[in-house]
Formats: sequence, structure tokens, C-alpha cells
Amino acid sequence: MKTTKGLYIHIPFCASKCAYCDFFSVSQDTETMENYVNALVKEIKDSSLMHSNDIVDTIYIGGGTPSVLPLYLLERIVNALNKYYHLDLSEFTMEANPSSLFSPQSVKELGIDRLSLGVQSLDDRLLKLIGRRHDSNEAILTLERCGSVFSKLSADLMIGLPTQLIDDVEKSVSTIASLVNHVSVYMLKLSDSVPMAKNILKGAYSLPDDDTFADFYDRTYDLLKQSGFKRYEISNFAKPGYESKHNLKYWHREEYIGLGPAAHGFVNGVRYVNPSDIKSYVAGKNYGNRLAEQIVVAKEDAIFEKIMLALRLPEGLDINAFNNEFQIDFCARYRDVISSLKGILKVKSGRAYIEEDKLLLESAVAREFLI
Amino acid sequence: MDARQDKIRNFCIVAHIDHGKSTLADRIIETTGAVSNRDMKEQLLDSMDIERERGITIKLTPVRMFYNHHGEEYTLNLIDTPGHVDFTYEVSRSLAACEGAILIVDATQGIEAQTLTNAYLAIDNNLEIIPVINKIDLLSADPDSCKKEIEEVIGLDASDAPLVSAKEGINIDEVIKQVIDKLPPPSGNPDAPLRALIFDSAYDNYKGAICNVRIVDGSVKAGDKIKMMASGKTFDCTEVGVFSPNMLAVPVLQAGDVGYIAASIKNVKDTAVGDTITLAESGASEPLPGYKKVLPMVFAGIYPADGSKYNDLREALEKLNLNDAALLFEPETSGALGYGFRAGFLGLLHMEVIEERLEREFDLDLVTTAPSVSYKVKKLNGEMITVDNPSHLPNPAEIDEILEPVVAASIYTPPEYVGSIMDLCQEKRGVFITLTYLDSSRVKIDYRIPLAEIIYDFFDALKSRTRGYASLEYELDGYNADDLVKLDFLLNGDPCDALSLIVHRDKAYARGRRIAERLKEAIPRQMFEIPIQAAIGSKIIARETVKALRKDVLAKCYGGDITRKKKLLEKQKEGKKRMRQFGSVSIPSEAFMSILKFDEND
Repeated sequence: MKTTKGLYIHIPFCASKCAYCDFFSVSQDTETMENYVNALVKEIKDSSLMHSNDIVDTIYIGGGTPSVLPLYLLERIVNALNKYYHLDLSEFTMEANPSSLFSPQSVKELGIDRLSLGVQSLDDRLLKLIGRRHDSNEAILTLERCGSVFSKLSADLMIGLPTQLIDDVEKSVSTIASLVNHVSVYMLKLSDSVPMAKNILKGAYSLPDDDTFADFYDRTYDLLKQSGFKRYEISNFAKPGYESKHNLKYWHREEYIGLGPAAHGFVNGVRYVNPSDIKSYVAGKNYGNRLAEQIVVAKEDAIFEKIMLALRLPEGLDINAFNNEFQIDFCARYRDVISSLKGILKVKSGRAYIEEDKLLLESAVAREFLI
Repeated sequence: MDARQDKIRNFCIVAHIDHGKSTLADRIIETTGAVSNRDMKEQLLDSMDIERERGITIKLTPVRMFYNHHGEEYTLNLIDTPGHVDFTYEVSRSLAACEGAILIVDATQGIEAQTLTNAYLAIDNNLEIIPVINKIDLLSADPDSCKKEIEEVIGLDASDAPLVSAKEGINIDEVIKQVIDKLPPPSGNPDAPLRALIFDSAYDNYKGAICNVRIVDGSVKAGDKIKMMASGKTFDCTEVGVFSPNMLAVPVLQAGDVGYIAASIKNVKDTAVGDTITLAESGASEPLPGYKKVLPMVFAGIYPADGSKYNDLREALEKLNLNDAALLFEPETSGALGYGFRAGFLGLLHMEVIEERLEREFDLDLVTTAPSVSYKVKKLNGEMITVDNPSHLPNPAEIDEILEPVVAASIYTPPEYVGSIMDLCQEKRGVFITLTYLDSSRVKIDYRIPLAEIIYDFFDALKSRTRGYASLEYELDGYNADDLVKLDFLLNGDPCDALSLIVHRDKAYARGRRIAERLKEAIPRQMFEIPIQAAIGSKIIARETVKALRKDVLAKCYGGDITRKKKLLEKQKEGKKRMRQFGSVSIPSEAFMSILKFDEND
């Protein structure tokens, strides 16, 4: 039986590291990138043997900054995917930065039909603070340039940046809403190791408190709604029909293949992660599904994952599908939890979902479902 | 006169805290060679860590020593005494085991509160007293005025008082010589039936509960069948011995001796301090005087911070109880705290020591409710009940009156603080009794004050208003009726039993408001808004609100985040488990402590 899967490819290169980022990436040099892509092509080839029964319908090339790859290397990857995998694509996304010089037209010609741009903010002061290489002009120009080529265009925005005011948020959001049909809004959350966290510890600046975060988010949501966007996940807003099909797979707990160092995959009920060491990866060691760290997701964990992920979506969990999948009765099993969450979690018309104005409590709600 | 007893001296050392009691004891032990220098720890007699850290003695450790004087070998038994007001009864039993006492006075401080209390206790027990002036090595020492004070205030002849420095080891031999020359030898009847006074007990893993005794009359040896005269229980004596200072078995203990009796006694409660041990057959007809059942004064709920540690807490309390018969506890259930214990203590220090030992020696995290006293409640139907847990107070409609324990408190202070101390006592509902000038620099103020006010924050307030110069002594002095009410705290509309307090009606409003504010700070925001209300009966007297949480979310959750996010949530859930679940409200342990905090502005 053929099954459809998503495919994620990690490109661990960035022109420079942003002050808030703990994603795995290294700075680029052509030789490393070439060796890397060679190794990736090998992984595409090797891994495809295990997926001969799968149809890949969404691809997401993320990073890092995939747009730092020279076009010929990108092309090599796409060719390998076409050659070894059975593709029947409904979406092919690549992440890009406004600062990198690439030709949208050429990228599109490779078959990539959706672009996600890491804009983050349109306030030059904040862009500088968080260590982005672009300024607002460059961002807007890139958005316009890409918008004329790609019908599916997304931008990332950050709220809750140090020293950010609600005016900054409003300006960035309203400008971007007119240039794209998909926006991902991230609330800045720092892991301890990143430069910004260190600056905060030093007292150089502070992060807004949770209420301010919530105000920023609510305002963002309002403005996007006014511009015709719908929220389809906590951090993701799209005009109807422009939701990311690939990302929805994560929240629907569907399976995806992960390629490249530090990439995660979820195949046949197993979650795996590739080692992040590029040297070993390039040398052909320790990569891919066969050798990566693996976690066989036990039934209880699968049940929780399903709930945790579904709660991120406004429509929440499909109770019937859930009951069928796990052969349990959601409402009976979680009767106490459901009643304790009255006013926050709604169970209605076969779905369990967080009330629209309470979606930012998603983690707190999910914790209640942990046994 | 009995030649054997003539060569024995049983004595103790009494002093105000920090006047050098433990140090002098150490020097005497060193001088007599009972303990080699190598084994000498600072302040040997204080064997618990907490005692050494706080500089107080809780557990008594007797020591037997030998000393040659005028060509004769004397046996000296030093019985240490606890140095805190919580343990007054134990002190009195230790004193009763001696014929004499060394009264230490700090040459730089003169007579202080406990100097007097302890001197009077010793006089009450008919002890001969040897005054000793300590710390003469210090520049500010004033031994002459010290002597004068002793003579004027206590009425003891201090002309021969040895001037010593326990710290520097100056003149210690003189103290020992006076002990032998001035203190009377024991004068019990060695041929009478056994009468041994229990002045302390301890638990030994191999020997069971051990009675530390003074043999007053007769003798006892392994193999004797012994009887506790208060409880009537009998045991087979398995071993008798002395403290040298470690336990050393001897063939027999005779009249005048201080030592221990082991009899495979399982429960330390059967070795009540103050009880008399005699022989089961043809024993003494009359016990020694002065036995009193020690009653706890302060009560508090003790709960494990992690509810699943209930059994660990029970075992720990049982273990502590082996050595500390004064600790009482019984299981209790609280709507907010789950399963735990209501424990009774001799006083606040005793409570603190127990808490600290539970946390330190047994590695437990505790939630302790506000300490309470034991109220007598007269109900309208004539029934009289005892309430030591505020949440058990009957419905006000059933109550005729509430009686609370009152103490007779004596406060010793330099005269300049009299005004502010009297203000404080007044605020604490004290009733003035008398004021006595002990000398030009020292005043004793007597008040009757409700015990509940003393245990709340009286001591801290007294110290802060007198810059630490005042000291306090008190003892239970009956019960008084007053206008007392139960102050409840409602979280999300439900009364939280563990937070209830019994307070005077006049203070209820201020306390209620303050505690509601503190609870608001201590309780983290949750998914729902949490109203906090202070109430007397059905009347709400204060209200605060913990606003609902607006954001608890992981902004990004893509393929690589799922496992990590699940782990994070599990960790957070684990952290939340350490909080108390009260209905839909999670309460951190600190919230229960917040009502205990001392605040001069209350």
C-alpha cells in the first residue's frame, strides 16, 4: 500500500548566526557546502530504498538558511529527490532570508512553489538588535520581488523582542499582511546558550512579560484577521487555501522523512533524529534513518502527542478519528480533565478544541492531559 | 555517712545562653582527663549538629569523671541541662538529679534573664550553688560588679567565686576543687529499695530506649526486674552503666551514682523524664517527687511537600520520637494538603528543631501550617472540647466561648526599652502584672499574655524593638476566654483548611488583609482567575485576585520540536506536582509559609 509522507531537508548553513537562534547551523564555505550536498544526495539515494512504497507529497527545505546554497547545489538536491523518490507534490517550500542574493525565478524553475522568508520585523532598530543581516527596505524589496514570482509566499515575524513596543508590532504586521498570503508569528523564546539570553542576564535589556506578549499576539491576530488571514495554528496565519500543507502534517501527527544532519523524522511510528555533526555526515558516518537516534513512540506517548499537537489547531482534535486510531474513548478517559478545563477547552460537534481567546494557554492545557 | 557516696559529687552547670556553659563543661572534662584531647570536639556535650550550630543544648549528655583531691579520688558526675525555655521541665529534672550547681555569670554581661531563672530553679531544687565568673580574659570583664550583682540580685555569697576563662582554660582546677569542697555528697540510702530518677532518655538501636538515671536509693544491676512507677510497666534490666562519656557497662549502679539503665524497652515513651524506676518485687512504695507529664504547647500540621512521601514522613517522625518523647503526633487529613500529621511541640524552638531534623536528617521537603495553640471550646450544649487545629473549630453558632492558654511572661530588659516593651505587650493583648527594678541597669516586667500571641511573632518583635537586649521567659498560666474568631481563607470560593487561623476579632481584619496579599504574591497565575478571600464565618473581610494566566505556550512546534516539547511538558508537570492541588488551584508550598512571616507592620 502506498502512503504519502512529507519530506524535510535540513540545510545547516547560515551567512551568520542570529542573536536569538539555537538552531543547528554553521557558516558557509563553498567546499563544505559541496561536500555536504554530495552527502545529502547519497542520503537521499540510500534512504529512498526504505521508502519505495511511499509517495512524497510535500517537501520542506529548511535550515539554517537554504537560500545561501548556490543554485547549482540546490538543483542537485532537487534532481536527486526527483530521481530517487516517488514525488507527487502538492507543496514544495524553501526557507530564504531577505538578505541573501538569490533569484526567485530560478528557484521556482526547480519546482519549488512556496517560499518562506525570515523577515522577523520591519523595524531596523530591532533587526539590528537581533542580529539579522537585512534591513526593512531589503526585506520589503525581497518580499515584492518574490511575490511577483511565487503565488505562495510566507513571512516569519517575531513578537516579544526586547524593547519592542506595540507600535512596532502593528507596523510590521500591517505592512507584511499586504505582501504575503501566509504569516508565521513567533514569540521569542530563548534558550540559555544564545547571545541574547546572555545579554538579558547581563541586564542589557529585558524581555516583555507574558501579558505584554499576549497583548502583542492579540493585536497581531486582529490585524491579520482584518487583512483576510485565518489562524490555522497557534503561530500560523494564512489566507484561505494558503496554509502550509507540510507543516500541517506535524500537527496532524502524520509521518515525514527527515534528511540531513540534525533533521528529525517520523516514520513507521518511530521518531528519529540525525546526528548534527557535519564532518561525520559528510564522511558518510552516522546519518539517516538506519543509524540515527530512534525513539519508538509507545502507545501512551502517541496518544499524548496526538492531543498535544491537535490542541495547537483552532479546530482541535477530531474525537472520532482519535477514538478509532487508539481504540479508546476520549471523553470517558479524560472526563475529569475536560470538566476541570471548562471555559478553556470546548468539546463540541465531535471535536475537542481550545476556546479561540485561550489558544495561548495551549501548553497549560496539554499538561492536563499528561498522566 | 556512707564512705562511698562521700566521694561522689553530682552537679550541673547553669547559665544564661552564651555565658560559656558548654565551654566550661568541656574544660572540666579535659582537666579531669575523662576525654583525651584527641577526641575532644568543641563543646562535646552538644552532640547534635543543630545544637552545635545554634549554640544551644537540647539533648542532655552526662559525663562521669575522676579527680584527685587531697589524696583521695572523687567521682564527679556532670549533668548538662538544656538551655531553652521550651525545655524547662527537663531542666528541672536534671537539677533534681544533682546536689549542686555551678552558676556561670559572664563577667562582661552580668546577670541576665536565664541566669536568674536557672538560679531560682536550682534553689527551688535545694541545690548548693557555686557562682563562677567567666570570660575574665576579656577586656570589658568586670568581675567585681558581677559579684556584687550576684549577691544583691540572687542573694548568694560570691566572695569566693572562681574567676575563670573557660575559653583560655584559666582557673578550671579551682572550680573543680570547689565542687568537691562545697557541694554536698549524695545522701541516699544504699540499703533501701531502689529509687532511680529518670532525667533523660535516648534510643539506642541495639539496646532499645535507655534511661539516664540518678540512683537515689538502693542499687540496680543487669538481671533485675524493674518497674516504672508512673506507668507501672515492668522490664528486665539488661545492662547498667556509666557515661565515660561513652556508654560503659558496669556491674552495678548504687545510691549516689549517675548512669544508665537498659532494659530492652521498645518505646521511649515508657521512659518518661521525671519518672522513678524501682524494682518490680519489693520495690519502693513512694516514687521520687516532681513527676509531671510534659504537655505540648504548640501544634502544627506537618505534611510532606510531595504527597507520596507520607510514609517516609511517618517513619521519620517515629524515629525522632524514639529519642524525643515530648514530640507528639497523630495522623491528620487536610483538604488542601492531603495526608499528614498534627504534631505537638514544647515550644517554637522545639518545633523548629524537629522541622530542621526532618528536612536534614531524613531529606524530606515539608509543608508546615501556621503553629497554633490548644484552645478549650465551651459549646452551648455544655460540652467542652479541645481544639488544636483551627479548622476543627466548631460552627460559631454552637460555641459558647473559646478559652485560650495564657502564659505568665517575664521580660528582662535594660530600662530604656520598658516603654516599647509595654507597648508591644499591650498590642499582644497582654495584661500587666508588675515591674521590678533588679538593679540600676535591669528591669523585669511581668505580663500575662495569650500564648497564641507569643508563638506568632512576639519573640521577633521583642528582639527587633530592643535591639536584642531583652530576653523572655514564660510558663503556662491557665486559660482565659476572649473574643476569638476563626479566620478562613477561601481560594476560588472554597475554604482552604490548612490556612485557617484562630485570631482575636480586633486583629482579624488586618491579618486577613495582609495574608490575602501575601497569598496573592505566593500563588502563581493559573489558567483561571483565582479569587482569594479572607472570611470570618460567612463574612468576607478581604479580597485579592490572582489574575488568569494569558500565555503558556510553546510558540514553535514543528517536526523537530515534538519530542522535546513533550519532555518539557512532562518536566513542568513534575514541577507542578510539588505544588498542592486544591480543587482546581495549584498552591506552592511557600504559600502556606507566607502566613507565618513576621512583619512588624502587622
